[in-house]
Amino acid sequence: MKWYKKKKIMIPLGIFVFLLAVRAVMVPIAHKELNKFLADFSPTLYFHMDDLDVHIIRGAYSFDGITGKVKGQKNDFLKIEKVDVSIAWREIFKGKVVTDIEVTAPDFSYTKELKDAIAGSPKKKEQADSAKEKLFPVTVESVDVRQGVVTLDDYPSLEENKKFQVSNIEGRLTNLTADKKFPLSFFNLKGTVLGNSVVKATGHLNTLAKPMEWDVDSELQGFDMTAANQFLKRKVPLTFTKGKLDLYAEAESTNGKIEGYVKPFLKNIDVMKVKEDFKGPKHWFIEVVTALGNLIFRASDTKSVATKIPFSMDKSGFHVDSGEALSKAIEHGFQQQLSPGIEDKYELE
Amino acid sequence: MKILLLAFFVAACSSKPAKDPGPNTTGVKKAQESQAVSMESKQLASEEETNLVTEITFSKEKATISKQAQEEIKALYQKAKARGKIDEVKVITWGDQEYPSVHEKKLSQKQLNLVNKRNDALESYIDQLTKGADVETFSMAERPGALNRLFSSEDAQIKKSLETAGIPNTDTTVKVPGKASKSVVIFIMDEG
Repeated sequence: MKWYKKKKIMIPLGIFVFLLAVRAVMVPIAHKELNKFLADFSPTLYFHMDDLDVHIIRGAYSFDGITGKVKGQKNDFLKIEKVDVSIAWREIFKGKVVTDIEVTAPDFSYTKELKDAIAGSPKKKEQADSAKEKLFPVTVESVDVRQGVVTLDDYPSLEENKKFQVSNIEGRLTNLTADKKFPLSFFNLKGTVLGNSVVKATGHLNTLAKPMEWDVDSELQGFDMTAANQFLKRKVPLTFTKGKLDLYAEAESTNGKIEGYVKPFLKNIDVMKVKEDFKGPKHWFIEVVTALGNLIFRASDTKSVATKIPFSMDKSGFHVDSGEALSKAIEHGFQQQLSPGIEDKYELE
Repeated sequence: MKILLLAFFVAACSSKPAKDPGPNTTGVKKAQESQAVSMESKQLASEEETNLVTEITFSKEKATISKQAQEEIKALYQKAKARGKIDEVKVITWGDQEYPSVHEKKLSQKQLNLVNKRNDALESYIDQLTKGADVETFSMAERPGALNRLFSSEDAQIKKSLETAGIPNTDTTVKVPGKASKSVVIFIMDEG
């Protein structure tokens, strides 16, 4: 019998050719339809993807060159090199059909226009749900982020190196298909703050709880305070001549209430230069007050100032335990130095 | 009040360093070593999709599990037991030096033996405690070999995760927070 008359060969070949044909015809149509949806689903935001690709053999599809902008604005607030959505084969053996998402090189700028656009947009949740359903119709199990960048772009006229930015973001979010037996999803994040120090965060989410519960631990070590001068000058105003910051923080949200603390450790800080240009009287005053403090709180052997600032947030607003913060600063300077590091105080069970 | 607090805090960091009176003249006690699980170990546990993790410390050159360490592992086991069936326990152990750098590849034979002894002690203790749970041990006294890396073995994956999380190695100038003389114990629950 000729090879082309054998069913064993012809049936799989036929299926393969059919899938190729479907892919060739359907992908351009789906791409066009998705772009139409992305342009119209929100009254204030516009998204576009350059390319849609389907990878039949590994059970995946990907979007290339995604951009997002506020309608009526020129600049993109979002650029993503690639989003790959693939079947999580390891879960198939557990009887689950779920997907893994890998986001490569997302570059997100938080601008004032974006903030206003989101605030002014009606039915935000419905819009987000419809976009999720359209782009990721199969349940998502994990999300990986590679080479991400987030920029606080509240003053677009500022030069690139003067904006507050976290770059080289690598992150992982797993077990998004949580159930009653394993209710927690896990996340890890790492990024470089203002190009000079690594910030790390790890935590859990309980998406089954209403409202959603979460906890997070984070730390930043050896941050060069002079790198934050441009940002601090605008926001406080305050500038540093030298000094390093280690920062440890923990927080938890349960039953609609957030509780946590921040533990900053400032080392070898120098604030005032001999000849310094002050932005105004407020800048001068803050730096003078700052310059006086060393005599009071600094632990002399480590040349560090540290405290623990407990905070909470509920329906009535954001609260800071200033008394505790002051007491810890005094304790660090005069009695017992605070231990650097997180304290494992908050963790979802 | 928040601004005042910020001012007070920042105030403590003056422009001119005060004269250093030298150690112990101020009567300020040094910071105690944190007993909390480090970020690197938490990140590793998170990669393994569990939050049942603890970190214990061995005395220098010793492989005996201290009473305190035994209590910590026991408490973690009780927590795991309350959640269901334990699938596996992973034990990752360092010698008295940090993880070897790419140049060093493995520590001295003495350090390798020490890690093996510590892992054996932990495996035996956990086995006795859990009455036969599957315990897998990893040595942080040597880097994964070429084959392990090529096939992305569990050993290679764990070491890569810890390096990505930022553990110091023998070449790192700042070895804080160091992992020398420590072990990380992770309980993984059965999903079935």
